[in-house]
This record gives sequence, C-alpha cells and structure tokens, in this order.
Amino acid sequence: MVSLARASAPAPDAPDAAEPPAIRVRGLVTRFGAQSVHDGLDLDVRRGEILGVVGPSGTGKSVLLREIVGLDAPTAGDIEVFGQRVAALEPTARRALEMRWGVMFQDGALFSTLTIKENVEAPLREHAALPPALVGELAELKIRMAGLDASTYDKKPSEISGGMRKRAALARALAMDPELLFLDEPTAGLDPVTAGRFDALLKELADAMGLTVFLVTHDLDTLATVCDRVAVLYAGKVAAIGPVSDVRANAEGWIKDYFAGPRGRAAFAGKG
Amino acid sequence: MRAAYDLDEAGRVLRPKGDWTVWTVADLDAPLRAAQTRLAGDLTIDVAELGRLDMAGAWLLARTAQGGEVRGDHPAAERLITVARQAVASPVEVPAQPTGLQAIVERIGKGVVLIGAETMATLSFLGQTLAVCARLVRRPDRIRWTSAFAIAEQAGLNALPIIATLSFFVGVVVAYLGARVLSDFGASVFTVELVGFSVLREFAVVITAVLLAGRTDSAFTAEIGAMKMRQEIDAMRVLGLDVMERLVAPRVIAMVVMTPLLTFAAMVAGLAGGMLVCWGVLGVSPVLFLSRIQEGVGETHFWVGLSKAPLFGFVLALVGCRHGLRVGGDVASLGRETTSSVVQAIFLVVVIDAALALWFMEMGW
Repeated sequence: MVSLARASAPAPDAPDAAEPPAIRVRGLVTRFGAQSVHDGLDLDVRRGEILGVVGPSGTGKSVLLREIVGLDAPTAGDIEVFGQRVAALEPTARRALEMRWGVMFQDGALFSTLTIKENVEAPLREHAALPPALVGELAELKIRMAGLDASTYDKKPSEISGGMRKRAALARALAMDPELLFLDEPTAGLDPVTAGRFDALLKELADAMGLTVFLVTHDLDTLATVCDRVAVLYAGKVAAIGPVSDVRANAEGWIKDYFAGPRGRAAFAGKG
Repeated sequence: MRAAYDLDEAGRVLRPKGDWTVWTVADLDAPLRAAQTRLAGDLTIDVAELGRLDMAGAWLLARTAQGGEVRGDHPAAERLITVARQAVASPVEVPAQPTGLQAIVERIGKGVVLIGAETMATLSFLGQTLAVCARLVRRPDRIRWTSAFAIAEQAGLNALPIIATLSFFVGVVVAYLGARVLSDFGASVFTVELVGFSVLREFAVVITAVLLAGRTDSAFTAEIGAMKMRQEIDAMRVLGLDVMERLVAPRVIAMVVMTPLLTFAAMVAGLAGGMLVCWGVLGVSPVLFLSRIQEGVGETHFWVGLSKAPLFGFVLALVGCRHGLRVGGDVASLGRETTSSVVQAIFLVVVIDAALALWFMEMGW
C-alpha cells in the first residue's frame, strides 16, 4: 500500500483565482413526473478538494452525480465542469472532457466477463495509443496503487470479495489519470475496517495525484476522515456547505439529527 | 508540449522535458526500455524542465531510473515518482500454465470429469423434480396455479401461431415430396398415408418440441439465470421458499400440459397442409383425404405421437430450469448456459424420439 504525506507544493494544475471551479452547478431542477428531486440547486466544487455530498435517501445525490457526468439530463439548470457546459459540448469536446474524469459506481460496475487487469486496461487501450506492454504495466500499477496485489490481476470480478471489487473499480476509475473523480457510495456495504482502509487509500491517492473528488456517501466516518468540505442536500437544495466541522457546528433540523445521532457522535468523537 | 528527454549516459542523469502524461508518452516506452537494459541500474532524474506529469509518466521515469534520486524543482514529480516506486511491490508468482502434451491431457481429463459431474447433476435434478412433483400430487394446494397458468399462456398459447404455421408448411413439403416420389411407382395416391403417418407420428411432436426448445426452454434459462445473478434465488432460499416448488414445478406443469395441446394443433395444421397439396396436385378432395386418413392411418399413430408430447415437455422444462440454476455471477455464464440449454434440449428431444421410435416399432404400435 502507498503511504504519503500531503504535498506542500501545489499540483501543476492547482487552482488560481482566474480558474473556474472544477464543477459549477447553477439553478439545477430535476423532476420525475410530479416528484421534484432538485429544486434550484447551486453547488461549486473547488479544484483539488474532496467534497462529500450527503443527504437523506431520495434527495437525488446519485442523480446529481449522474447529471454532472452526463448520464442523465436535468429538467433545467446549468452544469459546468472545468468551465465547460457538459450538455452543450460537441461529441469530440465531450469525449475530451470525459477523459478528465473518472467515475466509480456504487456496485463497482466492473465488466464481469473481463479480468480485473483487463477491466483497468480497457479505457487505456481504447483511448491512449500506448504500446501493449506499457498498457499492462500501467494497469498493474493502478491496481497495486488501489491496494490489491498481483494475485488479483487475472481474476474475474465475481471471484473476489466486495471490498476488493471496490478497490478494482477505483483502479479502473483512475486508469486514465483523471483530474476529477466521482465516487458513488464507495464504502457502502463494506465492514468498518475495510471501509476505513478504503477511506485512507482514497485520501492518499487524492493527495498524491492532486485529485478533485466528488464523493456521494452515507458514511459519517468517511466524511469525518476524508472530506475537505461537505455539502448537505435537503429538500432539493444544498442546505449547508462548508468544512465538516462548520456544518456540524451550525447544524439545524435534519442535519443536526444526522450529525448528532449515535453514529454521528461516534464518527466525530475526539474531533471537536 | 511534446514529451522528450535527454539521457546523460556518462553522468547517469535522465532529464525529462515537456509534458509526460498518458497521452504523450507512447513513443518513449520503447527507447526508455532499451536504455534501461543498456544502463542497468539507478539513474538520477532531473525534473527541472519537466512540464505536466501524471502517473503514466511517473511510472516510466520510475521504471527507467529505478532507485535513483530525483533532483530539480517540480511541484509534483517527486511525489508521483515515489508513489509509482512504492507501488512496485514484489510481484506474486503466478503459477505457470501447463503447455503441450500436459495441457492436452489436462483438458481431456477435465472434460471427462465435467461430463461425469454434469450427468450426475442432471440425474439428481431429475430426482429432485420428480420428488417435488410427487409431493405436489399429494398436496395439490401447494401448487402455484397462478404462476403455472401465466407460464402456460406465455410459453404455450403464445407459441401456437408459429408452431401451427411451421407444421402446416412441413405438411405441405411432405405431401409434395410424396406426390413426386410415389408417382414414379404409380403410387401417388399413397401420399395421403405418407402425410398421415409422418405428421401424426413424428413431425408434429418433434417440431413442437424443437420450437419450444428454442423459444421457451431458452426463456426459462434466461429468467431463472437472471434471478440467480441478482441473488433472488438466494433470497428465496433464505426466506424458506422452496425454489423447486416455486420456480421449477409451475414450469414443469405448464409444459407437460401445454406440449400435448400444441402438438395436437401442430397435427391439425400439418394435416391441413398435406390436404391442401393433395387436393391441388393430386385432385384428392378433402373429404376423401380425411376418410383415407381414418381408414388407412388409424388412430394408433395419433396416440403414439401425442404420447411423446408430455415427455418432451417435461424434458424441456427440466433442462431449461436446471441450466438457469447453474448460472453464476457473471454475464458470460448466462449466455453460456442459455446456449447449452437449447442445445441440450434439442439433443435430448431427438435422441429420446429415436429411442422411442425403436421401442414403438418393436411393440408393433
């Protein structure tokens, strides 16, 4: 496993004042029939930060993620990624933008007919014109960086455990060295120890590779240990956003229940 | 900026220049590999002129320079190269794949064991199914009638048009052939008997079974297989719902009931096709055709044909359900099982039909 201290120097593509935020969402409205999921939602994700997105079930966290990466279309509103409006892009520009982000779905969504190594190689083979030997080496590098050892390379996703599948999915999301990483419930379904290791791994990788991370989660431990800022979705809007401690200190209503419940107290015990 | 590098071989210094990312390093792989073999050992990396760097570039630098130090000013280089180095863990020995003769022998051995296991599993599934059927005969209140009727409609009734159409055309073909070949012997009038024998005894039931194998048996495998993949079968087990009783029995019941009915429809359609040709080509009127069928062919052949139908229905349901339950966790196994389900079903139908043909002949029926 990789272990690193946070780099003091900024990454070469670090934010400066003129640069637009990694993700800018304005006036987002999403409706499924009569049911309104997002109702004028605004959100900024700064470059280089790890933003945790929380909220009660059914507040459209995963939908927001899907809309940002262009899998679903919002009913109204603007979504910009790296200053470009995703919906308005030409197919080639869209493809180029997609290369700058990686997505990890909740169940991993690994291709079940391919081995773990082939899964990670798939985007490299498709997009980067690299020699096959180098593709193999890079895929193995990413798998090891995700904390899996060489015995998993040739296994099928169905032959490894849930926690290992999440790591393999993370390796695939990182295959193209993205600047922006989307994670949907990365620790859901993992035992606390494995989830804790995954959180540590995520933080290390994000620091080492200078990633911006959009993290949808229910896991209070993840929020407490990994996230630079947290955005709380409630009633179709961002009800609160800021460093975890600030949001927790000024919590009201659902947010208060969320952080003040027994799970919240345990996760933040000793963190002020 | 294009990726490039200077290699100071005497001073053992590697100076990367430009952007080293997954998009730019493609051409550097081969020369760096050659340099690494030639220089064999640690190089100093001077990152002063390096532009953007990502993990792909860092990997190339780390691989080429091995343990050498990183010097020069770069916001990310040292960090990324360290990550790449740390991830070069000791490779785990992957067991060597056997080659040549040994591989062939191993494959044959595995195949033989697999056939044995497959036969055993099929027989045990047959046993389980018969046991469930016997239990349900004693406790008919436990039969899932709703499910059985839904499957009977979908698998049986909806297959009626296609089975009747195909059987009709087979009747037409047989009658044409008969009229043609028998006329050489001046016996074209026996075309009626030919159509009657072949359609009633064999064609109607075999066509029905083969079509149901392609249409219904494959659907059974896919349905149950998808449930298996989504862990619905596991959920049924832990909830104490009997998979055999809930999934297999209704399909067996539906098929055992529907196959004879469809076979009957296929017989009618086949005879109609034959009758049409006899009327048009030989001038045998429908009335004459039917009375000759009654006198010349007799009902034994009808019963022989129809008696095979429930057996075929049972075999189809059995094979379809069994392969569905064999589906594993991945998509490929669903495709594989559906394919082998259809192949095995058609194979069994034809083999059983051949065996029964011999038996019925010996019995003089």
